[in-house]
Amino acid sequence: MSQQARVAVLLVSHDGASWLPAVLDGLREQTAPLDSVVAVDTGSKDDSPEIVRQALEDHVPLAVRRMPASAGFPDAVADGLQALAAAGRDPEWVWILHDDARPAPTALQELLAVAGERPEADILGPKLREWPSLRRLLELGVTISGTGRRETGLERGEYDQGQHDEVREVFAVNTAGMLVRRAVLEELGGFDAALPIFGNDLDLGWRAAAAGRTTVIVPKAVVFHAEAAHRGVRRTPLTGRHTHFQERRAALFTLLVNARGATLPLQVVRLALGSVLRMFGLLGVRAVGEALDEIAALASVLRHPGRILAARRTRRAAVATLRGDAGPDRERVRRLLAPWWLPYRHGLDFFGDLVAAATNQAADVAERRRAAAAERDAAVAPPAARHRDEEDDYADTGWVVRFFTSPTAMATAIVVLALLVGVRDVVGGFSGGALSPTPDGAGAWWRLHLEGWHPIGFGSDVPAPAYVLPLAVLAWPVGPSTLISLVMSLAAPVALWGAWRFLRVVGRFVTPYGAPRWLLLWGSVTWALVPLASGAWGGGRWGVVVAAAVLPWLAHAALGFADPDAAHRWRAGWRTGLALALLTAVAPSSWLVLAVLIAALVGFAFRLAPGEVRERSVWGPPVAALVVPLLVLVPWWLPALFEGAAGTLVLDIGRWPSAATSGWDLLAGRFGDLGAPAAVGLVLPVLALLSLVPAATRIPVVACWVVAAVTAVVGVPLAVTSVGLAGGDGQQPGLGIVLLVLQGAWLTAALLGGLALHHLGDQRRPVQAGLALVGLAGLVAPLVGLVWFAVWGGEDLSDDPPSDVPVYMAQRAEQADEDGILVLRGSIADGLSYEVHRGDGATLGEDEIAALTPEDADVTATIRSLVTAPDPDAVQELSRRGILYVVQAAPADGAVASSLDATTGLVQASSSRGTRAWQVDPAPGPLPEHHDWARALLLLVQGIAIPVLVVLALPPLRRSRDD
Amino acid sequence: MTESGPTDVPKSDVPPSGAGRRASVSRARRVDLLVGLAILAPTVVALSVGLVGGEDNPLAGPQPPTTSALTSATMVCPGGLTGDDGPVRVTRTPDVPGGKLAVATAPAARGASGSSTTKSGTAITVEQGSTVEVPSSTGPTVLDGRGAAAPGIAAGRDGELAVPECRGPSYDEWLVGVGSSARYATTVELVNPDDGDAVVDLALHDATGPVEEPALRGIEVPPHGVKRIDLATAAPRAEATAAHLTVVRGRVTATARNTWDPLGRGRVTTDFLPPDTDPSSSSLLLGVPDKPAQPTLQLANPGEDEVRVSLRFVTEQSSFAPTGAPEISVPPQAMETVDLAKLFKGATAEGVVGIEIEASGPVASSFMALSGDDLLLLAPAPALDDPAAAVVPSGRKTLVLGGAERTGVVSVVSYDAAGKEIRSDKVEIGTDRAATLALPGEAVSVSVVARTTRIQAVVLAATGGRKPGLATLRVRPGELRAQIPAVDPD
Repeated sequence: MSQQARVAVLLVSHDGASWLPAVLDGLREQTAPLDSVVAVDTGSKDDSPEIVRQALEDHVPLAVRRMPASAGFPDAVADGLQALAAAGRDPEWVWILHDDARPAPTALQELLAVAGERPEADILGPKLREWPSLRRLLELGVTISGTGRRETGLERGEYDQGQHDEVREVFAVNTAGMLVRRAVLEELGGFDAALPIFGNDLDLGWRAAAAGRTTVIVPKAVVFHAEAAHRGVRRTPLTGRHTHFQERRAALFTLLVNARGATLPLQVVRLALGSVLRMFGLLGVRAVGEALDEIAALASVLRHPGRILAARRTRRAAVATLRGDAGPDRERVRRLLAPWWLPYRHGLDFFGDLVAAATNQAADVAERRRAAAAERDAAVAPPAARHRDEEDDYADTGWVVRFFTSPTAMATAIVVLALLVGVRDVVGGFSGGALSPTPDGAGAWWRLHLEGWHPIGFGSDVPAPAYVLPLAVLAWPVGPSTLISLVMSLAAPVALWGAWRFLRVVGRFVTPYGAPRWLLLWGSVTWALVPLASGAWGGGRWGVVVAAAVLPWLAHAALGFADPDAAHRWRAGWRTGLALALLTAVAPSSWLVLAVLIAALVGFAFRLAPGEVRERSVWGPPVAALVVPLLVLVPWWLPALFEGAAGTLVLDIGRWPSAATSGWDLLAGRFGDLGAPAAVGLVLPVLALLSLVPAATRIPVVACWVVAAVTAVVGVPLAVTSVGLAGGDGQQPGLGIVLLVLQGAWLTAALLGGLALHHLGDQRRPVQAGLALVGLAGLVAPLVGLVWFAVWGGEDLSDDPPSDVPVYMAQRAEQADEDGILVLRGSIADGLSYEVHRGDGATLGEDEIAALTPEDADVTATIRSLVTAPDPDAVQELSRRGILYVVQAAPADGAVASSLDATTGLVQASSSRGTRAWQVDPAPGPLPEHHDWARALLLLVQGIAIPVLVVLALPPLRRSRDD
Repeated sequence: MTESGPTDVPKSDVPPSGAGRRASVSRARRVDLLVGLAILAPTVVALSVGLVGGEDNPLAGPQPPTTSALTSATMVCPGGLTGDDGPVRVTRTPDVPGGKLAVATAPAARGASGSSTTKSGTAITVEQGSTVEVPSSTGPTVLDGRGAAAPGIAAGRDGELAVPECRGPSYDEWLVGVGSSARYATTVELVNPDDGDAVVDLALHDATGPVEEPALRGIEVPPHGVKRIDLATAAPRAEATAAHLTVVRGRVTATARNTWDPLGRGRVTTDFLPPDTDPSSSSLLLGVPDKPAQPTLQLANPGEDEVRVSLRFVTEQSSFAPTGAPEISVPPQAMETVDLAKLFKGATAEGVVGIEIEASGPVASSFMALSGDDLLLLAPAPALDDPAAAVVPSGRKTLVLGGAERTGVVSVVSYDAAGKEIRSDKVEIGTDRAATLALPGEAVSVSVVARTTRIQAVVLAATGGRKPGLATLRVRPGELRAQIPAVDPD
């Protein structure tokens, strides 16, 4: 550096008294000489200008200027440049500093050195490190991504170890410590006043790049930055309380005013959609304020298209002045902008973090309790884990080796394979037993869920079953048929996974070492087989199958009630509630069973520790878990009560009637005659009974038995009553959940008893032999179940009998709701029953509505009149109620048939032998429209409750840059 | 899965600081509680499971229909054997008001097959206690009553050696023992009383099972049409069969005439084959003549399982299993012909007026015999629960009563052509026996009222002279009430 370049410092301050002294110290310590200092203060309420004056007055030529608080950073810089000109100073460089940015002593020297080496560099920036930590990197040049995100290319909280120390061209540099040629700054028109605080550096960099100017980062120059405005430490009238709003507004504005003209409309669409998406993401991590800021920023920018266009005109003019006809330096801009895939990468990372946090948040309740206990009592040190994680053992080996050398992993894989072999029948869609055929599209389910009046039968106000909403949501990508196949085939593996996680935590509760892997494998496989061996799968009772998959996850979430941290407990409450809502949707009596269980749990806890339980964050979460399903499922249970379909609240879902469950079935874990040999099912309760013997684990085993006892007691009134269905048949309320909870409690008890087995060597020989025998029985039982299911599991799932409705009528019925088909069965002597085939028939979800819809006495009277004697008025009534055909199923009662033959308005229609059919004349008109505002209200409650509860249940993920 | 288990555990497993003293003090009590729970909880489970026991879903069983006043009734009288048989006479069962009946008639039949149409004629009014002759009713005649005129129509036609049954349309019935050969031929007359088409299926069953006979499927009878089908022409077969008649569309009254032609070795004789509308496992063939020639029992099994049949003879004194009665088995969907000649030989068969059939499953049956060279065909008579009336042939005649479920008195009143009561009789009847009553020769109609038991009744009209023979007529229950089915959503 032969000739010392002249540098004027432009120090902008606003209420910076807490940092200014240090900043000024930094200035004074500069090894490079300063030409002059212009300090611009924007309406500080503290004595910032005075501090500056006192510190610098005697050292360098100083001008202190005051501006109103409404002046932004660009205004301050412009004012500073004017002051320089007014003072007749003509420095080559301007070094911009913030009142919270302290330069290292050599900062300016290093910047000038690089400026000398690289004469093409017009804007230079230092390495920004965090203040006051001093070591963590903040920025080494920045760029902007397609979504407006400020990209530094650094990991969060990365420490400066010289890993980025190379001088390179960048898109933009932060204004804190920015060294810029005064002439260039003036040519470019300074900073854009539309960006008062945030994002003006990116905008300037973009404009500079477009004008063909070079921006360079100089890592050897270091400036420590407190980022007071960004972190909300400093509030000015310009940042307001909504920092995020200002940042987003600036980002959107920068993108829109600098983007290429051809892509502008596309950019607007993309940014709008992106903002909405980000809003949901922010809501998902309970950052409601930022979510609102996000959308408000978008609105604020798009509300003034004129400003954007004006700003674009200014930029075009600037480029034209600087580059003439060459146009903007697009190549440079493109090179320096963030790559296009970066936002997607961020989205993926975010989603991954969310899932990991959501699934892991309860995993270590036992550990946290122990840690909390250790904190209270230092003598109880957490013991070293006996079973280390596989990850530690095989840290260096590949996953293939780890997989094939782990017997547990291999056994799990084999079990899952066997389960998938067993469910082979689901390929290509299936139905039978309690499982009705699926509708053609998810739209049918949506309609069923949304409408308050269904064109089922002669019209029904009975609400759609609660499970229709999740089915509708899940069926969106794959279609209903595939969805049911997937649900039926994946339920068992999911149950296995859930049981593994639950039992692992249970094991850790009981012993610090946790349960051994083989025992967990045994427990989870046995659990996964419960719905399969019980015959629920083969009988098409898909609600029980899904409930078995949900229950361990619910139990796992409920373990969080015991968390030492109140926030964790509340989250456990919300999560348990959501799981219970799902469970109740697929097995409605679950709510009742769980309510009694939770009441018993709270009651017991109150007896044991009344002081602790009285605290709201202890009893609150379990109660919240019970309230959540009431809120989430309100469009289902509330109308059901009013429409006389209260039976749906206790019946197992599916097509009724399904065989009743006896006490013996509950004991053996079987549904009627379906399922694996019953003797195998008795092994589990016997094991659970024997588990009461070892003293070491007796307390938790007794607790399991208490759960079983409470559940069994709740099961009694359910089992001995019956719910009346349309047609006079009765159906036993659903005992599926009772069976599952009983089996689950026994399984947990047996597993806990199994924990005592590792003291086998200490026992006497006959005892050893006996225990070995018991263990063998416990081992053989699930194996038998597995083999049974893999070979014979799907045999009971018979196809539905062929329909009585002729094909051409069914096709016609599919085309319009009003073209219903009245199907009559039976005879005069034994009584006639009627049902209506509408649309694509009774599909999954609709069958329950049809069965629970109370009889319409008028309709029955009309049909009775029709079949008793020719009655043209009855035909007109049928037509009015949307009946196009009347079918008398084989064997047709001739007396009825002849009466219908002789009825005016019924025209004989072709049908297969033995079946009689008539067409109603005139054909029915469209069914009346129904608008149910009450239903809309309930759906609104549900629609708000679900996302809010999901957000409440998710772990906190949003971390600021301070973490 | 349990949540209370693990959550309770740490409270005792890892005592919180400062709780150690409390724990040691209450340890003894807590152990007792634990053991108590360890015994109590499984006991509660066992008790609950025991309480649940075996459960079944309550199912809605068959629901019997209710009844109401009949508001619409149709009665079809087939044509007589020859064109010059008497006209149709109509009367009423006791205790109904009566009223105006619409009449439609077709010309008398010519030939074994062919078709004609009924034309509506002058309406007649049939009041309680009157007998009205339907004008120009030598051919098939349809009577239709509406409203108060519907209940209790009873009609009949005079005839020598064979009288047809007037009855309403039916949908499913068995004609057991139809012939399609030159020796024994059946003509089926189908009458459609309605404005719409009617379609009839005739399914034949022989000794081995169902017989495929496409020509008898989907027989169409036009509105108000009469269709006669000669089975010997339409579906010729050597041996007799059982015909299962089902109406697949509309309403039809079917009447079968069987003609026995010994091909020059005797008299050609014809009788109406009464249908069996209700195959049952227990039935009574009433009206067996004295010393029948070639007595033959024909049994058809509509079911899918073989049916074993035993029979008993019914006399006025008792019912008994005749010695040497064969053990009969009827294959599924087949017709079995049993020769009863051996049983009717000897003294034991004297006085037999009925044959009681006991079967292991529903069977349809008929009895065929020659009485003085005259063909005689019987089928189980319908049970009479209510007062019934019948228009009876002229001449010497006997009323045979049977099938009583308990001892009772049957009141039989005979009326002349003017509707005047000629005679009133009380007949005692008991279970397992029959009763006979000679009716006045000039009686044109009778009413049969059994107040305490259901019975079956058949009128035997004997003809002497050059062509001796016997005509039988089942007394049919009057249609008094409409059955309203129990209707429920499915």
